[in-house]
Amino acid sequence: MDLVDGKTGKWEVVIGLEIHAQVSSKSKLFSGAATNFGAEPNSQVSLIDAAMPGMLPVLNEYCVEQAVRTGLGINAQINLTSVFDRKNYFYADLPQGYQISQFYYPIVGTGVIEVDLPDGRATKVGITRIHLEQDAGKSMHDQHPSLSLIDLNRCGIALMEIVTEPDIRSSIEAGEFLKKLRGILRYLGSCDGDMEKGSMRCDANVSVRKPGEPLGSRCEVKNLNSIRNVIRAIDYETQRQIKILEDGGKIDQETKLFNAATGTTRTIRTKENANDYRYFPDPDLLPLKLKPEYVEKIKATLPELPDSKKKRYVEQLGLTPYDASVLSADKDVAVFFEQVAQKADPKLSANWITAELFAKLNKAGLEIYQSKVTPDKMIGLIRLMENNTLSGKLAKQVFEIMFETGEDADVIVEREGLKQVTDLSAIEAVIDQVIKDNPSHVTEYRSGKDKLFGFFVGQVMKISGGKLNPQAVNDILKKKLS
Amino acid sequence: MSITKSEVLATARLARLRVSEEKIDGYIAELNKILDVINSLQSVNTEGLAPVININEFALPLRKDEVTDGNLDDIFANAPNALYKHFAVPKVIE
Amino acid sequence: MTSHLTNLTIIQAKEGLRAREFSAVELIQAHLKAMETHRGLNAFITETAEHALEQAGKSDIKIGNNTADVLEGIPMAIKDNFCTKGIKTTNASKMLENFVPTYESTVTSKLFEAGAIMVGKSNLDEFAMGSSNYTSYFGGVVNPWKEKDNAKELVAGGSSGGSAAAVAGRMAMAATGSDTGGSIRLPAAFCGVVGFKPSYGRCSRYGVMAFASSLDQPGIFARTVPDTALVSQIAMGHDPKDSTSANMSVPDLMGAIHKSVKGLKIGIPKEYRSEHLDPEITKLWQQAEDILKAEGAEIIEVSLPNTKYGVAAYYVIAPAEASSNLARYDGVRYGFRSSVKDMTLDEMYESTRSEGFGDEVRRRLMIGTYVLSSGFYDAYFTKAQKVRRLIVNDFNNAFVTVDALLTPVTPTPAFSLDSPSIKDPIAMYLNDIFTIPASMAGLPCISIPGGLTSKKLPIGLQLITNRFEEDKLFRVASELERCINFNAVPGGF
Repeated sequence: MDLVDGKTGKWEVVIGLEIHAQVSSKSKLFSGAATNFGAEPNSQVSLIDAAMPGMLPVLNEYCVEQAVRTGLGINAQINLTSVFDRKNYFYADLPQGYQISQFYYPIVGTGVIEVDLPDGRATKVGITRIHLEQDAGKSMHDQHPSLSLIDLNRCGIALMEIVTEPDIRSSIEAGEFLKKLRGILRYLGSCDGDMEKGSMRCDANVSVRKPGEPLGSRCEVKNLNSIRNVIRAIDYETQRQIKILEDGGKIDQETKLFNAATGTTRTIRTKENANDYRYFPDPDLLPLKLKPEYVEKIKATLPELPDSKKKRYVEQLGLTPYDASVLSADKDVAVFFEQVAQKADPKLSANWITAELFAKLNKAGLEIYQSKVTPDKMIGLIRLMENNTLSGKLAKQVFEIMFETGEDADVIVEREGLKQVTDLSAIEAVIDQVIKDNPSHVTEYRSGKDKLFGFFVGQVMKISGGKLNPQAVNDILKKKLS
Repeated sequence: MSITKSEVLATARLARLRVSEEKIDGYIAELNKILDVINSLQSVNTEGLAPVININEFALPLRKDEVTDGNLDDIFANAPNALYKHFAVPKVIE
Repeated sequence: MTSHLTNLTIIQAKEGLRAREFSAVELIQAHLKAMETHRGLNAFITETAEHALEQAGKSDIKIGNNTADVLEGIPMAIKDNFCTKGIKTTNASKMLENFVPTYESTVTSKLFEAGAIMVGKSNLDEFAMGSSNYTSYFGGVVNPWKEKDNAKELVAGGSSGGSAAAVAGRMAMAATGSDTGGSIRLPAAFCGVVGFKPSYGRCSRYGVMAFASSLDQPGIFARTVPDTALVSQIAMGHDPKDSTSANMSVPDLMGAIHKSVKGLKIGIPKEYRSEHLDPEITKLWQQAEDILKAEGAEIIEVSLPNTKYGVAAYYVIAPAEASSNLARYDGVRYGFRSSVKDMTLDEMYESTRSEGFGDEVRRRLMIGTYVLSSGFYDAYFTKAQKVRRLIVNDFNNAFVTVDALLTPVTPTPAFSLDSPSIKDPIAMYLNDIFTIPASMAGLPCISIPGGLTSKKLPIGLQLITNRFEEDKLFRVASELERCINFNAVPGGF
């Protein structure tokens, strides 16, 4: 159990998340305006989005499909009948004075997502529901001394609100869950999961309790826009709540905002001035009734998802569960890996991608699909190791160049003369030279100083510029020194 | 069930309407008269009945995912205050 | 010549235009003159004379080269809650006093495409909430009719009072209206004209400013049933921009006109025999029953036991939906914004909405917000929606045995402005007692003039048929109208 230390003992953190994932549709949930990121202010606003008098909503079929896909992707129950409700409140970025959401009867019911934790454990996080709802516009409060400015481009964009059960027990777990969820959404294509662009946002509900005791009062931290901030906000809230309780106080149920610069949360709404949203079914929209055949048809188009891929990588390709986990988490990575593993040894492929390629990509700030080393080129490199043309060390040198220039491995090897020498007579020649040049070391080795073996290997490599097949060097050296 | 002063004020707050002190008693009386009429519904037996959300019961029409709208030059035509291509409202402190 | 032109029916006017007896410009001019003469009725919020004459010129060209559309050149009043592109649309409220839509409602679009010409935006109760047309920010509408030997002004009825008065006052040949709880039928009855509300879903609500979404239905006024059929045929039809619009073909209304009622079963709901009902109306209702019987219809008494809960259920549901529909009027993107200085956003909302909305609107917003609020939602709103189900079931049962229902429209004829009931919201709500149930059940219904009272005021009779049976409705209505032969004209018109 992940427990947090306090002054009076250990505390359990209970976390539930609400994720708002923007549906990857071209137009909005109830209007035909575009959804592109970064457009000129108020250029992607229809009369419906601006809530002009007499305007009416019309539902986007693609958004329905994506919600169903997502539900199926997390093995959740699809509700064949769902209803759109109005959530009524006033704010400048909410033109209608209500948000069209699904309160009473959401389109997706309960599901579960399995999460692998870094320490090797696996945990299950329950999903309570997924529903479709409209996004609000954007307000800017710092562009003018006495006015706030409203941009309605985002207003009406389709969101899937994904609500978890309070099953998460640490900020790390929350982070891993979000990575897994994001991976699934990107696999399905229902959301691009880009938290920086705001297409995936997270609210975290945090409470603490002594293990075994009933749930404590929770606080909600809204609109966290990166996994790192989710973790930081949870950590801060955890400490804040523990301190209050240990000092004898009690936790007030509040809504909070996280300040990324200071790493702290502040209250924006207390329970007293919580809104009464007066949810009621939207009379402009009839209930959404899905046919079982419609759901089956979508199910048939689902791609192989991370959990299945991981299983297959372990069972059929012989990867370690950890490598399988890493490679299956992201769709682009999985596609890359599977292409390479088709023609090259899977374990080597896995190793090279997770250790070498990822390191270079991270340093350069690139995504895998931006890599100059394409799957075919990767295959080329690994083949050269498989047929002993290159040692591991040489291969790294070649890879370094491949990553920069995008050239094929054999082209580089040819040009740089990096071919690993496997010609035994050539190797023998070098070894003989080293033995001749270091008679005292030879004597010492033969009299029992086994550690000197490394010295000889080093000398051989130095003379040969590392181009000799290490295995052969080892074998021949051993023979000649004995 | 009759409406209390605090309920009137809470309701007005939700509806963003102002009810002045002088008007409040008159308002309570008016609303209570309406509530008297509405309260007659309490005696009706509605066991097992499905509420009417919309009288039509056909399928909810769906729209193709295409960009058919937006880029309206006249979106600000009736705006009381528009600035830098934004709708301007009194500043909000969050 | 002028009074002759304004007294024609649409069907007569079409024939006159076709036969080149007069031009569309002349027809429009005659109506514009009438509007000028009768400005005192306050039937119009905005007059569109220039626009109308321009359109009339275009109509004459089309008539000239035989490409005239069905309603070519026909002057219509458009209720001022229908958004008309480029023409101020106020919903009779300070909130939208200067609002000019940049878009057109589907219904007006269809009517204009068929050649109809807008002569003005007609007055209504503010935000269509009312039955007297006296809650309008622009003043009430005076009924063209007056009691015999009594100069006292009477209400035109609401909420579509302006449209009814425009048609009764011969300032337009037809008008659009909207009906939520009786807002077409009631003023039609008070003004002695025909007022038709189609089945919910027949006319598109796109571009009609919403009041109560599950009840609102655009409809048509004219002076005769055939005229009403002609215009309604154009106004009805599926609209993909309205998700509650019925995707069904429009029935042939003109084909139903004057088809015999022989063999049809006409139901008389016994619960509509109310103590609220003026005895003269009861008499005219009975006469209509006798007429239909003489024409070969069978008269059957039916029961609609939950009628008495209609008003209560309506005054939960309509204000509740309205409280949400009117939340968009907040002074941010269009409409009135309070000019009080140094307000916070919330203060701006409060000032704008308190100053922008009149008393009746604010009253309904309060009730609507209240019945939806936490703790009351189940007891009031859900309860009312279930009672609505009972009312729907009542009608479903009745229509198993009968083809149409015949009922009164209003408990009384038009009342005067100084009537104490005008200031009493409850008394006003009770005006809708006979019209609300058909709205709750989304049924097609029509009010036709049933005769004059002894004080020479018109009263209306309502016919109701089952959902989407507008053809049957017009069949019975046209025959009843023919037999009643109401040809009274308000004095001075």
